[in-house]
Amino acid sequence: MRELTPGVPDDIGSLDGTVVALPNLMSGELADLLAAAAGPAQEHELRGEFAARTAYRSAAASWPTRRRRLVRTPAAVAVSTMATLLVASTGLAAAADLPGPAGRTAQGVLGAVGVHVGPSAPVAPVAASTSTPSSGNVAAGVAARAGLAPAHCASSTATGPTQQLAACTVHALRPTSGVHVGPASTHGEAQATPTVSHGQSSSRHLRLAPGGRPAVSKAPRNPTAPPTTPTTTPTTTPTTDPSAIGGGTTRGGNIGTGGTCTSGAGTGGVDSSTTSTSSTAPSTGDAATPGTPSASDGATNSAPTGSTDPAAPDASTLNAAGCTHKGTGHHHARTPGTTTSQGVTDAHAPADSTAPVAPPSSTP
Amino acid sequence: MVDFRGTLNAAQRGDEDAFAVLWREYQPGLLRYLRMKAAPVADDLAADIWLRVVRSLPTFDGDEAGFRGWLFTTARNRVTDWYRTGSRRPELIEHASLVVLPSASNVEDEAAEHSATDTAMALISELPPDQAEAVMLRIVAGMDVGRVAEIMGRTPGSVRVLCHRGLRKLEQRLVERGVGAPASVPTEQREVIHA
Repeated sequence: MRELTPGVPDDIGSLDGTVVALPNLMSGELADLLAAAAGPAQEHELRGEFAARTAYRSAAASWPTRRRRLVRTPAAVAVSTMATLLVASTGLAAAADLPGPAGRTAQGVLGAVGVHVGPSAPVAPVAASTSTPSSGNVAAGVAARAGLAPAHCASSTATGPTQQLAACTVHALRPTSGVHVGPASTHGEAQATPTVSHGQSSSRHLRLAPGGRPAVSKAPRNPTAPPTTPTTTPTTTPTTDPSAIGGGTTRGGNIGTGGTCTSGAGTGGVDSSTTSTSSTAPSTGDAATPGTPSASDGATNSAPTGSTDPAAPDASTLNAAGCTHKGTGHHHARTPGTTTSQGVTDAHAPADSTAPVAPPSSTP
Repeated sequence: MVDFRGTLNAAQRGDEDAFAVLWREYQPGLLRYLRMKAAPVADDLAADIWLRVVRSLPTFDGDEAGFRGWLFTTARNRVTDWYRTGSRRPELIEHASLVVLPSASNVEDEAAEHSATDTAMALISELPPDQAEAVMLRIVAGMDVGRVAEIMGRTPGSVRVLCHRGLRKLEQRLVERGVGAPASVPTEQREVIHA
């Protein structure tokens, strides 16, 4: 390869005209010229040193002293610290009292960073017995990665031949992963038993009703276990097939008028208006059986169709029990294959009734 | 300058001698740059620039290249202000600045060196303004391309092009005029400059 020498245009001039020769700065007249231009200081260039010193002396007298700086620095740090603390505490207090979606959003954001804002509203009392779900209706699926709190939903009585009222008590711990757990207050319609409380907002963090179970995964792993009658719902007709135990992955958004809804330990599903990632939790049994009559009693399912639960491709096929759930964030652990009082078969057939149940999420 | 950081810290603490070291180091290049940009008022502008530098000296934080860039940026802004106002009004000059210090070197050598520098500066000043400024900042002031680009408000590539064109034009003029730079500056004192 030919070596290019700077300052030799003849050597590189033939290279297609794309290479420009550099001036020779190492030797030659140009180098001498530049060296003279950048040469050492001359005497006449340093004549103004005395004036410069005078100017420096006068200017240095007006400089702020270091002591003043040392005094000001701690004061500024203290003031800024106090202001930061004040703003932070005020913000946290305000975030705890924010209503509705704003509060949930704030709690979700703060929860994501490890700051948990407690509720200021009183917690509605919930009877302990209401948290005892029917064995046939207990869904024990826990989507631990969704971070949802265990929920208990006890089936209540049917008040008529065409209507079966569902009463659910959802104790939802607030998810730590930002998954929204909507208010459960909308579940209180036409409750047969007053012991079932829906007044508690499920978005409240770590608010368990007295006697309520903090963990949800009480679903019997033995699908052949005999059903137990809910203690709080004496009029409740066992509507679920004891052999079909819901795993707990819930598919939400059920607005039904009949049947029995067991909103048990559903922690994997997310209700209708919630499009969080909790719906992608592994299904442990609340899987809609394809071909199962859905919403046969006029139930309206408003669950998002974009749910990623592979066992339940569409939430609209899940609602057969008719549990009226309008709130968001409720987790319905369906008893798959359940036949309601109207003879409606619950569409939530378990994908695997013996699927392992994840431990209850007790994330604060 | 042996230790720029130490000298600068001392100057920032109020050490007048340390400031004098800084001033002697950077005054020649500053004055040459100003003579190319605004020859009639180069000395006055230099004094004003140093006054501004002194006022802001305690707040300066940087290395030698940063200080050099700060100084020449201040100079360029001051020259721009001077051209913008178009002022030719006389300014008060302190009597101390008029004092001419006796020369410590040989008169003949000083004349020869003065001639060499003046010749070089005259040739550079004949370049187009942008090219002359790029060559001055890049070669006389000894700043890198990035710093020159920041001062001139151009891209580094543009500065390289300006320097290259300016140097080529200087070379061409030297050949045309038959003017050779006097060998007053020893070869070992010359700085290797890569445009």
